[in-house]
Order: sequence, then structure tokens, then C-alpha cells
Amino acid sequence: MNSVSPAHDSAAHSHGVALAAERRWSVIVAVIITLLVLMMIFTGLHWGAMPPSRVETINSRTLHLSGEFVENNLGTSIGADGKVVARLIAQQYSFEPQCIVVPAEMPVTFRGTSTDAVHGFVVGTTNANVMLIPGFVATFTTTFKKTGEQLMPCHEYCGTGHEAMWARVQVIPPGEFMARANGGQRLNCVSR
Amino acid sequence: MSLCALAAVSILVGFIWLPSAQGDFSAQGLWASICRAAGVPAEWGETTSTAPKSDLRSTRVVLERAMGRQGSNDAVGRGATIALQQCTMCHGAQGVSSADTPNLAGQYREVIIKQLIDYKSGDRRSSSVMQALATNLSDRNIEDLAAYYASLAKTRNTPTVNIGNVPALVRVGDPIRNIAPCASCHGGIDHKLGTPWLEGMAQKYLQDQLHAFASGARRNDSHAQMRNMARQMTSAEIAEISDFYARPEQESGGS
Amino acid sequence: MLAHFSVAFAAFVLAIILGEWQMFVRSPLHAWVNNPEHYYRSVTMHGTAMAYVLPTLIAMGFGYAITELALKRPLIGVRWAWGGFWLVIAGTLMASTPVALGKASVLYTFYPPMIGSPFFYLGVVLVVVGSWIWVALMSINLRAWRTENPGQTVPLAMFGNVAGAYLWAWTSIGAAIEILFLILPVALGFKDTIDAGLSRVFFSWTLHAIVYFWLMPTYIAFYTIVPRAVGGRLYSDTMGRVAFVLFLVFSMPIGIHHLFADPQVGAGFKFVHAVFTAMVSVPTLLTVFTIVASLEIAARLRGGKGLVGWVKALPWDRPMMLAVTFSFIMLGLGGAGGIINMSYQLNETVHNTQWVTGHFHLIFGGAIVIMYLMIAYELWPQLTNCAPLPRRLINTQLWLWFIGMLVLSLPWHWVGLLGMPRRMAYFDYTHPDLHAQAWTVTVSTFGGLLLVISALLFVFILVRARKSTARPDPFAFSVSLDAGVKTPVALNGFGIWVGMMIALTVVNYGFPIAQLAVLKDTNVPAIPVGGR
Repeated sequence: MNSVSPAHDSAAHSHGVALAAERRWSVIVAVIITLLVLMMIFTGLHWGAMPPSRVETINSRTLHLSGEFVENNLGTSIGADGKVVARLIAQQYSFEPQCIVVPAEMPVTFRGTSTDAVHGFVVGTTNANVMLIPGFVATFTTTFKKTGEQLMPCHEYCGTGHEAMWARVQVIPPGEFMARANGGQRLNCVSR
Repeated sequence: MSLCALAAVSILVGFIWLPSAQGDFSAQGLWASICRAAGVPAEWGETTSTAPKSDLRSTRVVLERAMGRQGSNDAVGRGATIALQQCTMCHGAQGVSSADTPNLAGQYREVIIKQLIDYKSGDRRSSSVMQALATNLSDRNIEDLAAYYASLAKTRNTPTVNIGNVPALVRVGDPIRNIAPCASCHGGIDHKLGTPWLEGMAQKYLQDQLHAFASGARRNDSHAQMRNMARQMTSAEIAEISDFYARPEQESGGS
Repeated sequence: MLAHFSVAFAAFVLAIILGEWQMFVRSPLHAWVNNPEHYYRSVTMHGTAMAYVLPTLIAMGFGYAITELALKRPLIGVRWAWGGFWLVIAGTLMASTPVALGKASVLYTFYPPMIGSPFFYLGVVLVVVGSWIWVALMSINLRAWRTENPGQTVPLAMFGNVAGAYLWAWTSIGAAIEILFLILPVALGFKDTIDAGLSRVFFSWTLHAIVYFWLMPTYIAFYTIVPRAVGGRLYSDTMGRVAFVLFLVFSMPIGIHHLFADPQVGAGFKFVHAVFTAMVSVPTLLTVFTIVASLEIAARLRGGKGLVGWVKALPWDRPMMLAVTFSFIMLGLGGAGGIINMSYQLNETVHNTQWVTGHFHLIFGGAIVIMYLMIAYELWPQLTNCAPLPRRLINTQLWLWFIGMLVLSLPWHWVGLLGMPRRMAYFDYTHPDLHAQAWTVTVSTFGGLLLVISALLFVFILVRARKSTARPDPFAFSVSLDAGVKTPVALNGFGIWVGMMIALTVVNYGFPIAQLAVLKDTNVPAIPVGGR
């Protein structure tokens, strides 16, 4: 930084010096900000990465009666287009299915909604992280790299039982998953 | 000026450039892609997926807050008449049963409505007697009965979780097993619409129902909300909870 | 101002004790609370007091003081000011009562479709209305001064003050709409349904910008008090104005970054908000430069030499020096965390984990509040006619606050990265995945304990201030280097900036709100809390 001694220089000169230094700093700031934004754009384009942003509405009252989120349609399955879809709902105070099974190393599309309050979940330390808002369906796609079991807590305050709302996610080898999902069933790892 | 430019550029990037990298955003053309990026609701799932094998519903009741409100005096009167003819022999003269059937006195109105409808439609199969009786009830009969029983006095006051030997599952549940505290839905901490009042119920009835939920034999809880709770409980815990709610005396303290 | 500050800090101490209790009971050091609702009740009270009561009263009180001290004239509308104060008090009491009774454990972010007692929301409305009276008075007083001093440069402190007031007025509208039109009709029993998605969008309007409203008193102190208190000059008055107007423009229309993981807002708007959130870091970066440069002036005036050696010459024994250094360190750490939160994709790893909670405690409770404390120390002699406050004790209190905040919040950030979710009353640390997280909560609990001690020490210092016989010196704001330079007209008024703020709001929020408002099937049943 420049040394400034206002006691000696005239006001105009020091003001000029100050302006120059400020301009330099402003340029640095602008560069930093631009870099950050470019990084966001790059990852958005290159990895197709973005937060869950597919707006879709649904009637939260009748989820159990008919439609995509009836109890028997929940769980993980392979669609007609070969894509893996995991469907779930959140309610006070459990996710259904309580244990979700997904394949490793394959893109998994989650579709979920809430029957009552605002819930949300994060899977372990992955970036599978979404809000489940009654009246809306949340859709996002992610890929799990490692096999194993992870905890899936509800991370949005949903009432006095929120602290007990923990589901699990089991990530199994892709071959095993494809074998189990072959017949069109909705898979889960809930013990009955 | 630069503000407009910044806004314009970020809009272009956000609404056109970035969505182009997402297959399902851009699949239907540029205008659709822009609309979707703006947040216009669309369909994102493959809604015509291969259907599940059975279309088994857990319940067909849609719970509304209005169902929990007090019934009119007329409804209560009509309900009393029906109750006298069909219910009191098992459920007791004042809705307090001396057998293992559940007490109905003071039960929440929407709870009675839902369970009767579930018996009537076959969604709840735990009692063939109830199924037979419910078949003959009209919708208005059901609402009247519910109004009547809801108007009777409860056998027990609001439970409390701060006294004596309250089992852990009732007080604090078990988070890793996804068991919420019973009291957070059934009263004592908070109450969830459609959740029955349990205080003073027969021990055997409570125990049978919890086992039925745990095994999946009873499935009229929409989206498995009770089955998810009971599934990982041990038999000892089920017995302990049932003992607690069926306990004979009101212990000290209110809520 | 004395009244405002006294109540603010009383609420602060109560809330901080609640906060520490919360930390303690969900740490491995304590068995699970019997009734989780007690925890959520505490969180609601702690959040409401710290987010709505404390900063509002500080801003209002400081604002009134600045109006008199910087404009050198008595406040116009003193009776209205008292009216506003009592409204805030009434609102606080009205809101706290149902919370204390367990009838409104909906947290300070309201959480529709869960609905608590209508008195909670009405209380918050009263607090906000009281603050709107303050906004009006700031505007009126500035206008009156301008009429009497045509063409003169508005003193920087007042400029920042009024910028903060206008920012608050516009920002609070979002939550006001949510409460008045969406929540209260349900809470009062006129409606049974509510649109949860739309409510969250309205709340996000307020939620981010409110932190810039909280930040204004601190930044005003940075520019107008710190340089004088360390014996230097403000490097640039113009830069200060630029920072304030940038806050005015960019603070509000960026709230959707709180909704990155929500399914009711489209990707395009989320990206646009991310970009503008990046812009709002600009005034902070400018401020850091200007204030450090101002400190350098002070150091060199004291004989400091060298490229970085001048740092040693700073007056390290003065509380303000400690405070601004601590504040900047916490601002740097918290700001870096903020940049992660703002980034469109990285947010997905941290959303709703304890990282978020650690972040805002560090940046608000740390960087901002430490300057609130200094503002109180600086103005106390003016307000109470007291003798100079004990310097060593103040330094100790500041150190405790700084160390406590770091010990509290840094492990908190870490456990968020490990995936610990927010707002849970207790955790089962026996599970292997959670076992690794237990120590962070224990450490944070000790950090919180230091904060409680620091807060009590702060109150002790102020309460024990001895009366002095001599009148205090007139309060002086910092003098800037470019004092003689004419301020550009754009930086002497607010019209154009408020216009930009409103225009940007329309662009960034208009469509999402309009769109959600017309959807019919997103009205979902309300869930009353607090027993039947």
C-alpha cells in the first residue's frame, strides 16, 4: 500500500493517490467476483450441476389416493426409459420408504413431496439435498459413488418430532440393483 | 446502466445458456426452456411409468381440519341414538369399555370418522365385527356417531411427559430407529390431526394394534406413518408403551 | 437511545443464556430433554429476540443518536420516537408470551404451514411497525436538515443511517406481506389453507436483506467512529457512500439464494440471485480496503513504517482497535462461508446443515454484534454522563467474545460439513456416523459459555459505570481525508438508488411471486401447533 502522510501533502494530491489505490482495489474486487460467477456458470454447463429447480405442483391432500405418490408406487424403480427413479414422500415424522435403496455409479433421479409440513433431507455427506414442500414436487438427479449405508435425516424443522426423523439410504452395486429391479418392482430396504 | 447490463447478462445466462445443459429443460424448445427456468410449473417425471402391481390403498380418507370441529347438538343427539342401538354393548354405556375394545369417550371426532370409514371400505381389517357394523352406516351416521363420542368426557386428562416413569419411546422416541416420541403426535407434546387419544385405552387393544402395524397387517395409516414407527419397536417396548397408556390411575400433574 | 439500548441488551442477555442452554442440551454433555418442544420453544425465543428485537432496537437507538449528533440539532418528532419504542416493547411482550407458553414454537422463520398463536405474529408486526416509525423520522429529519442546509454534503454517518432505514423499510415488506396476508388469516381462523411455497418466497425477500439492515450500524461505526477512535482519519468518505448505496441496491433482491434447494422457484431466477449475491460482497470488500487504509493512516501518524510493519504501531491497547480487528477477522471467515452459501452449486452440500447455523453466528453474532457492543461503549458517556469506562475490563470482554465466537462457530461449520442437520433437539451420538460429530458440539458448548460470560461482563461494565461530575466531550465522528472534496450529487441523496432497488426487486422477484400467487392447487392445509 502507498504511504500517506496527510500532514505534509496537499489535500488534492492525497485525494488523487487515494483514488488511484481505490481504483486498483475495485478492479481486484471485480476480478474476484467475475471469477466466482464464471465458476458457477462453468460447473452449471460442464457438469450440468444445479440446485433442484424443476417446478411442479401437486395436490398434497390426495397423495395417498391416486397418482404417482401412492404408497405402492414409492421406492426405487427403473422407468420405461431406463432411468432410475427414487420416489418418496415426507410426513410428520418419517420418510416413506423409510429405507431407500439406490445403485452406485448410475444417475438416480429423486422425486419427492410432502404430505403435510415443510421437510427436507440430506443424504450423509453427499450433495443429495433438497426441500420437500407440500404442494410441490421436487426433482433432482445425482450419482452415488460409494456403496454402503448412509443416514438421511430430515433437515428442516417440521414439528416436535423432527429430531427423530431419520431414514437410511443403502447404496448397492449397480449389478445387484439391476437384477433386483428387473421386474418393474418398487425397491426399498425396509424390513417387513 | 451497468446494473441493467448485469441484470441482462445474468438473465441470459440463467434462462437460456445454463438450462441448455440440462436435457430435460431444453427438450421441448427454447421458449419452453425459458418458461421452465422461470419456474412455470411443468411435468418433470415420467408420469406414465410402469404401474405398480397392486393398487392397494391404505385408506381413502382425506383428513380435513373441519372434521375435527365440534358437531352440532342435533348430530350429537342422533349419534347417541345410533350408539345406544349398535355400539354400547361392546364400547360401554358412556363410551368407556370394560372389555378390550377401545374407549370412545372423548375421542377426537376426525379419528372416529376415519376409522369407521376405513372399516366400511375394508381398508381396516382388524375386526370383522366392526367391518360388518360399519357397512350399514351411512356417511351421515358416521358423522353423527363421531360428534356424539367426541362430546363425551375423556377418561383421563391430558397426559404429561414430565412425570415419573414415562417410557423413553413416549418421551423422546429413538431417532436412529426413526421412532418419534409418541407424545409428539398423540398428545402430551403436541397433537397431529387424525391421531387418536390413547390415554386409558385397554392394554391388550393397544398392544395388538402396535403389533398389527409392526407386521403390516394393519395398514390404514396413510403412507405408513404408524407402520414406520412400530416396525422397529421390540415386543418389550410395545408392551411397555401399552402398559403406560393403559395405566389405571392419573398420576400427579397436568400437562 | 439509552432506552433502546438498555432493552436491546437485556433481551440479548436473556437470549444468549437460552442459546447456551440449547447448545448444552443437544451436546453429549447432557441427557436428552424430556420434551423436545422445550428445545424448539427456546430456539423460537432465542431467534426472535436476537433477529428481530436486538438489532432493530440497536438500529433505532443508534439512528436517533446519529440524527442528533451528526446533524447537530435536536430530533424532530421525539414523541413519535417514543411511540415507536413502546410499540417495539409491546410487540416483543406480545410475541414472547405465546412462545413462552409453548403456543408458537414455529421458530423465527415462521415455518408455514405450521401455524402458532396469532399473538406471536401480531407481536412481530408491532415490532416492525415501531421500526417503521423510526424510518419515517429518519427521513423527515434528513429532509428538514437539507432544507436548512441546501447544497451541503450530508454527514456520512447520517447518510449511512438513512440508507439503512430505507433498506429496512423495503426489506420488511416481504415478511409483512407474508404475515398479514398469508399467515394471520389462518392463525385467526378465517382460512384453513396456506401456500407454503409463496410464503417462503416472501420470507426470503426479507430474510437476506435483514442481515444488511443489521450490518448498517456496524459499518457506520467502521467509517465514522473507528478512524477517530484509533487516532486516525477516514481514508475516503466517498468510498463510504459508495458502499452504503451499493448495500441499498443489492441487499434485497437476492433472497432466493435461501431457496436454492426449494422446488417452487425456477433455475433461472436462482442463478440470477446468485449473481447479484456475488455483487453484494462488493461493498464489504470496498469497506475492508477503506478501513484498513484508515487504520494505516493512524499507524503512520504514530510513527509506523514499512510495508506491513506499520501494523505494530497501531494503538493495540485501545478497545476499538481490538474490536475492529476481531470484527474483520470474523468478517473474513464468515464472508468466505457466505460465498460458499451463495454459490449456486456448492450450496447443495451445506444447505440446512449446521454449517449454515455456524456461519450466521460467526458473521452476525461475531463480526456485527462485537461492533454493537463497541457502539454502546463509545456512546455510553454521552448517554449516561459517566466516567470513562474501564479499559482493561472492556478489552477482556472483547477477547472473550472473540475467542468464544471462534470456539463456538468453527467446529459448528465442520460438523455441518459432516452432514449434521439443523434444528434438532437431540442427537443419538452412539451411532457410528454421529459419533464422529460429538466432540464438535462439546467444544461449541464451551465456546458458548465464554460468550455468556462475555455478555454478562458487558452488562456489568455498563451498569457499573460511575457517574462523573464533568460533562463529556462533545461526540466527534471521524474526519476523512477527502473532507474538502465536493461529494457527487448521486452520493448525497437516495432517489436514484431506491429506484434501482425497487426496479431490481421487480425483475428478480416479480415473476416468481406473481406466478405462485396465481397457482390454486398449492394451497395446503395449515397445521396448528401448540396442542389441540
